[in-house]
Amino acid sequence: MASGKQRRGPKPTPRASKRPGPSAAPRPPRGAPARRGVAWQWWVVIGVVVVAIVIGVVVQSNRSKSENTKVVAPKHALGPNDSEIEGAGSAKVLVQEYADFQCPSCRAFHAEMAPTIEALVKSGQIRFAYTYFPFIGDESVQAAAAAVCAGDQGKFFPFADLLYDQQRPENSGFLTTTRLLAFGRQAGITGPAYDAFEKCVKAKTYEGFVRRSADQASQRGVNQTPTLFISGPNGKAVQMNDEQISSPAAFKQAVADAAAGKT
Amino acid sequence: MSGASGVEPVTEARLGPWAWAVLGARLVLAGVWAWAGWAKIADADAAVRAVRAYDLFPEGVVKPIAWGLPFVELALAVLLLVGLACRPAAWVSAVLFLAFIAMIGSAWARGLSIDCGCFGGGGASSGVDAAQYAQEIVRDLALLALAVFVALGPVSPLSLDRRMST
Repeated sequence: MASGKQRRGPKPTPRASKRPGPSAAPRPPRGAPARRGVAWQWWVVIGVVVVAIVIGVVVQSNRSKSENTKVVAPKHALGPNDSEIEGAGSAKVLVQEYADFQCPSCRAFHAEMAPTIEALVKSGQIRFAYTYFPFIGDESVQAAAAAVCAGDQGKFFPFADLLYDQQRPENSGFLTTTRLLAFGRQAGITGPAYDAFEKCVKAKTYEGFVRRSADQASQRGVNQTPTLFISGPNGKAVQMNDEQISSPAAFKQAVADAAAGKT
Repeated sequence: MSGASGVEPVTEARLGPWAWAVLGARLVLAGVWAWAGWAKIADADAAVRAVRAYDLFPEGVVKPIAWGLPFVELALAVLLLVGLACRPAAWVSAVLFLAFIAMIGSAWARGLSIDCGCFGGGGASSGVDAAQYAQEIVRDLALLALAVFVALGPVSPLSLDRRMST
């Protein structure tokens, strides 16, 4: 049928003998290909690419959970960037951590720094803020959402301690609803508070909240966990990671620097 | 012109080794694009974070890139697999590989520690070292070479382009 009369009769016999060796030199591709008669092919590719982008944006914006999950504000008070906060308001330094409960480096960091953080909080030198950045998988999201439920009952920090202490390999199926509820009991949530906690976890009340938090973290330029922002009285925050703060001594030094406005 | 499918094998048999090598390259590229595209579609939010993590694009284009790119990759996979508009598809592939190399190189140069998000995943990581970046760049250079080879090589067998031109 129409096979013979392609618009520009793509060359009858390709000059295939022209030895097109693997001229792999990454030559910047200019608009047209080397041979004549393939203009229609460019239109095919351009059309396909444009259609693919449009389909992608439509499909994925509908699938995006952070765009389509309802955000419920927690019942308890929060710190900066929707964080869980502890420590006296009079403390000179704010240490803000972005972390994922499934992240091994976060667990290691927590295990090593927890006593130091606790001491600095108790002595009124720092306020410590934990900001949700659940990115590793759905178990991270569910653990974070449950932690917000625990926060509603005033038990965020003991609950977070348990999540780290009991951490298993990423997305191994360990963090089930049942397990998260058991952690709630272990963290000391009892009586009517437990009933509210249970309802909150089962309903995934704060899933949208922690997903939004992850999105905001990425907008703030957080791209690894744990990430710390340490700010002193001048309010200027320094972003650091667990390699820069590799020991309790380094942690104390960073806090002292921030307090002295040296950062 | 002959139209009869029975003639095809004879013609294909007369193709030189380079034409068959192009077919191999097409299939490799199609496989890589299909895998990369599919993996990026799974988690739409992770894709957004992965693009944002490069810190190269204004917020307004982050989502179009994060959500459009995987479908473009799948489309290129299909074009290269069936051999439709191979050369332009290969040039577009080459441009994308160049862009990826530039993006990874820039992240490396700026001392960022990000998961490239090349095959899904979301920007965030717990530490990426130089070896990882180097490996990703070498891989993309190899893919770039394959794409340029398809773009400049002869029309390959088992392609719609060839069927339409014979």
